[in-house]
Amino acid sequence: MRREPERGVAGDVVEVRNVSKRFRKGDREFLALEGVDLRIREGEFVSLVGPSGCGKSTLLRMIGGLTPTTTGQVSVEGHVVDETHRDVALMFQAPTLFPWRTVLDNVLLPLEIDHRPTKDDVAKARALVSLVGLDEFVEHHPRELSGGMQQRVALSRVLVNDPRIMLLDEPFGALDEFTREALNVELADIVGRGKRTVVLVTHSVPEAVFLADRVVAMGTNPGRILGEIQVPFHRPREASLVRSSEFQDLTLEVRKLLGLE
Amino acid sequence: MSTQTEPIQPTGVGDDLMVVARIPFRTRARIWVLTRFIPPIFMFIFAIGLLELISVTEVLPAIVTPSPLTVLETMGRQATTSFLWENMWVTLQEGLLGFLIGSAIGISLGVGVGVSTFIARAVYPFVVLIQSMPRVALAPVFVALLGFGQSAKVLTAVAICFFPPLINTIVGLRNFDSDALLLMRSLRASRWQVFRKLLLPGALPMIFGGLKTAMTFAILGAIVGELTAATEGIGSLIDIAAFQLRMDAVYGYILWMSIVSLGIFGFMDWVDKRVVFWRDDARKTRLTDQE
Ligand SMILES: Nc1ncnc2c1ncn2[C@@H]1O[C@H](COP(=O)(O)OP(=O)(O)OP(=O)(O)O)[C@@H](O)[C@H]1O
Ligand SMILES: [Mg+2]
Repeated sequence: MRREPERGVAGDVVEVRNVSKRFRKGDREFLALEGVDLRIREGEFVSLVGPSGCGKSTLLRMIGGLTPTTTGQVSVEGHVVDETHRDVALMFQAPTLFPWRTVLDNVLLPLEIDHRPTKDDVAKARALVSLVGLDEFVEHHPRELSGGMQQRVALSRVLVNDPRIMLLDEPFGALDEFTREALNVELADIVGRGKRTVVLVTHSVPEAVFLADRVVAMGTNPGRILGEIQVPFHRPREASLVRSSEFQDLTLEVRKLLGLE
Repeated sequence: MSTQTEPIQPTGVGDDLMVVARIPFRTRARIWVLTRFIPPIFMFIFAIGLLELISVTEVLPAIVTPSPLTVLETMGRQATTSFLWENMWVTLQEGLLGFLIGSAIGISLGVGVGVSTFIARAVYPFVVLIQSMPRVALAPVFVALLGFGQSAKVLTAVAICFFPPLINTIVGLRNFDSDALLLMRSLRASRWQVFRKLLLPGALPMIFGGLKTAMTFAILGAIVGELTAATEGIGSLIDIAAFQLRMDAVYGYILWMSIVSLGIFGFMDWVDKRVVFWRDDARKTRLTDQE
């Protein structure tokens, strides 16, 4: 079941309205985000790009209900976010696996917190582990895996709850370029199968364009949205897409938005 | 980064590594074994030789410096008596019981402090106070309180050994990954689940470290208690032998106690390695399991 871009039919699942975020640093206040408006449609894949410190992670955490907004409002599926939401799953830059749990048990964690895992749950977790190509390692512990493999386990763990909305904060940021590209193709493939809404934070413009339906460019001081670009390529996308001139043009546009060109 | 500077190294360290890097692995493992075991063996022979020399030349009063060989002989005799083992068993009972009670108190207080600000505020001033207290000096108090039986020794052991598990539990529970906590929150885990699935397992390496120290302290506490006032236990044997100026017997008892304790600590280590298998031991094993 591949997702067709049925834009405009489905409603907005995420609505960020005039949001600002202020942090108190000692006795000084610091405006991390100001006047952020963002609407994300159901099934849409949005990339957030921007320089370090522009508030990408903060915005993601506010959508995930982990940090309150200072002013403005975030709604998910029509409800104002004031707590974490069961349809929303987060993935971090670091794999954040529990070293005392096997790969399988790490993937099962979200289900375990909800209820006592059933046989079906275990089967599902196993299926996800093999989906990311780690069959052999189900019973291994995280320290026996490479960084990329650990990040794939984290990806399975995000997927195990069948979240309708996935918030990915630089999930492959700490990895080398080869692993990263391979995992991005995998991610595009996996996400493309379900009707999932994804918000991905990244530093890499090509990565943002390759994965997303829409790229949102952000700037610093104060953190804000500079503009956005629609990405028209249909899915599934091949790795070779990166070399096409249309792709190059789009990345150039994003870089211009960011003030890099 | 545009300029590259040489990393600053303590002199000698880098050179050593450079030499090692040119040696094949098999040889390197053999060298490792040699460098690991030669120094302690050398030290041991040196120490025994020195003791023998002191005893033969009688630079110190002969009565307090028996020859190591005499001590060995005495130890052999001691081992064949049920007397030694019965008294050792008394001391071990006190030590182990003290360890169990002390660790239970230490860990539960630590958990209390770790999860509740109220308990933390209530307990902390006393923790600091007790930490600075010479707790061995409590032994006579406990004897006055509980008499000459084993309970005073158990209590001394408890008083001395509960501290490391307490502190290590507190520190261990605070030593979590903040992303992991965010993850648990985003999964809408309850407070109990956060504790049970993240904080407690995360604290286990520290807690076990505390337990290992507690075991040493507990046996120490039991012996201090016995030295204060007792009719049985290794401490009382040492006391009596010292009073009779039988120094070879004193050293013999001390050494037998050390050997048995070493076995107990070895066992603790063994359990530790199995329970806390994920403890970061990369640095310890780096030279042995490269490749
Ligand atoms: N808990 C906090 N307390 C104080 N300041 C914070 C806090 N979290 C973030 N900030 C500040 O808010 C700003 C935005 O932080 P954020 O982590 O959202 O940036 P980012 O865009 O994700 O950066 P990066 O790409 O480096 O991850 C930064 O200047 C940061 O110092
Ligand atoms: Mg960030």
